[in-house]
Amino acid sequence: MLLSRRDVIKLFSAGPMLLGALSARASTAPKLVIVGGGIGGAAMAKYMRILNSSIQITLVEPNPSYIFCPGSNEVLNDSVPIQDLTVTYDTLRQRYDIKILQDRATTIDYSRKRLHTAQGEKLPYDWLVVSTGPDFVCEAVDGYNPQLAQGDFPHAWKAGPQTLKLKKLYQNMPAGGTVVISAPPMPYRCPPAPYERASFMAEWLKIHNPTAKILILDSKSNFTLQPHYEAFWREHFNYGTPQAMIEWVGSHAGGTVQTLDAANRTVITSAGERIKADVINIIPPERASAFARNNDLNLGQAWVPIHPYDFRSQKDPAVFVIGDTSEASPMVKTGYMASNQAKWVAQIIHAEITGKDPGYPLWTNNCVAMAGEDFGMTITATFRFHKGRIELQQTLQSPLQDNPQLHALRASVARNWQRTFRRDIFE
Amino acid sequence: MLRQFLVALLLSLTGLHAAAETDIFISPEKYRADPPVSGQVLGDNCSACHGTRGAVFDEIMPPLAGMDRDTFIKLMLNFKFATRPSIVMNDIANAYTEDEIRRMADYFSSLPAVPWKAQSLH
Amino acid sequence: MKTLLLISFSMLTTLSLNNQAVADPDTQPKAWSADSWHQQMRLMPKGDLYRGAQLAKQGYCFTCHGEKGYAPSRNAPSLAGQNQAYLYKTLLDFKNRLWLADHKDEGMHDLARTFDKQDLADLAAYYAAQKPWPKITPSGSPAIAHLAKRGDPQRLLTPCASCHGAQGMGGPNETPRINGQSYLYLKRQLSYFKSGKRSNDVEAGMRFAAEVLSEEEIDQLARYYANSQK
Repeated sequence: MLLSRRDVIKLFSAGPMLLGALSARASTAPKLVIVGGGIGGAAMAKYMRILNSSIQITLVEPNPSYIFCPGSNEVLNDSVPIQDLTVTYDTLRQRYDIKILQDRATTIDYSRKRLHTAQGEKLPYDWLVVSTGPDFVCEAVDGYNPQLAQGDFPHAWKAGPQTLKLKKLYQNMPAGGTVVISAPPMPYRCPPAPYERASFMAEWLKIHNPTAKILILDSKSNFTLQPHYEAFWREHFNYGTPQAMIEWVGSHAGGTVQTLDAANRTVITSAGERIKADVINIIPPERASAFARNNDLNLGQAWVPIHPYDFRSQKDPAVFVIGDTSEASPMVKTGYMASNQAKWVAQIIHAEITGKDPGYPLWTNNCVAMAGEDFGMTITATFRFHKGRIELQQTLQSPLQDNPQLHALRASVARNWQRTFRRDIFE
Repeated sequence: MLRQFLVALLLSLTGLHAAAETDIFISPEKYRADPPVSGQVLGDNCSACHGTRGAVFDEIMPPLAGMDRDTFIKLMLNFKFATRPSIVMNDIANAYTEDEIRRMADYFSSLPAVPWKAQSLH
Repeated sequence: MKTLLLISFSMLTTLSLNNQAVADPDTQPKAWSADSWHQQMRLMPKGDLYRGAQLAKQGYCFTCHGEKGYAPSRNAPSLAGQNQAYLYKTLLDFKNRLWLADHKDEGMHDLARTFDKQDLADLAAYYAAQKPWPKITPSGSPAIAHLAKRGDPQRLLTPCASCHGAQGMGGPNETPRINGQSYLYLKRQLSYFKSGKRSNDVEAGMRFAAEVLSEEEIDQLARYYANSQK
């Protein structure tokens, strides 16, 4: 199965090759294949190359470029052009010598250790890392489907054309129009993001359409950083009063959206209420990707079970699964988390090649969120592997009430993070 | 007295108590008997803000690559014990043992103080 | 512990409610001429250093610039005892996006725009009144010392010393002290003046000087005036 440690060490006994000497890289060099060129997959490729000059790395991704989700809510209030969030694979290809295969991965041949693609490639691998991101289960809301998501009912939970469509829709509402945002049940990527989205929309509407309303219908009874957001909304958007620009209805109050009546631009909630709106933004529930499910990586579960020390799938030890599609609770589903899982898996594979003990992992998810351009929040989390499982060692939120300087600085830090994060993954 | 009352009122109105409940803190000393986390693995967690290998030199958050070892340790311990308030570093430094901070210092001080994109790879 | 901190923060908030003026629309020019700057300098509000101390605390200025304005690491400049007009001008330029050479400056912009001109004058007064950071003896190769002290007439290069003083301790008007500043900071600023990314200098004075310097000279000059902090 796997190359034995000794075989691999023998392969490289001549010492690490220079990066430029790739063409000379032996066809017998061990092979890492990565499925998915998002944050997790790209970080995997880059950090693997930093550690190891000799391994062959192939990244399979159907799209020619990638648009970051972090920062995409700020596209909605015109403060960030989507171009700023868009990266290509050129640097990975040129500087890190990653083979980029623009193709869709379809099937894993576990016994021959080959990855099949839509265009008929059969890529042999020693290690396969799956970082596909989640699937959006539009159908969980009756009457909603992926075609509607690509049309007039974008979920925009993957940054791209839907983000721009949503922006166009809500910025062109009639005066006093209503946006409905349906927030999904846990777990989903970037827990504070629906509320950040509502805040940024409100910031824009306050200037351009001041009698408009944003109604958040939630499939949860509470949400991350709720006190922070509610305090901010109270201060800026009359939250909790009849003049509120933002309203929030939790699942306990019947806020779960069960049905979309697309023809009448109406949603029906668990309380049986029919709500007509000018813009309907249903953020669907999520589950493991179709690729993972089609290859039975999820073993019949909603998400892919992994070994918590090294993120090997429980299905096959040569296949690692990182990012949103893996079941790594108590870790949250964020790009930040995926990138740190990727860096650790690179250590694991490198250790397998060199025979050196990688020690223990530690993963952080030090997130920033914003409620407005002058109001940032931080939520830090540290995870450790301890006694056979992943443990949340600590999570701390920035204080609710600070002076205006510190709120502005946190927004500054948030923007710093968005820039440096993109550079850490793709530069 | 009145001001104290007003502050307390303000805090309770804005739902501080709910926020406080979500904070979790377990001392890193709990993990002392586990195999160590290497300086590089620890350091890779810093790169999302401070750049790959801590080598972003034009951002609000300072570069760590090539930072003086003792300065690094001193600052991190100050953050950890909150003798130096910070926007976010207190919450981050909290999570590490003093040994781990020293290992990070060894790691970052061994790296060249050169922007990542200007470094050669291997 | 955290709760205590929170309470003290919100007390700061209540104390500072009247300092929140964010917008301060001003007809400031896109670049400073000697005239426009001197006029602005004459209009600088009288600073209250005690209020400045409070504002510095509120804005967490110590994070990068140190407890009393003596920078704790190589990443940011020291401010203690710096030329007051320079400090005021700097903050004003950050606030108005006149100094935006790199992303570090965006942090300063985000912070400075939460302050009004009186606040900026108070902050300048506070830092100017602090005990200056340690003085160093500039040192480098004879060639670089000559460049610093005598300039290079062939390149029409004014010596650094003619404005910043023989030891780089600062000069008239808004000319700052550079002696004992962080090496990385000095080098970065000279490079930004050279490339024109930093353009808040009066009459483009620093840009004219830096433009003719080589990268090597910039590095050497930064080392010449810098402290030994790594």
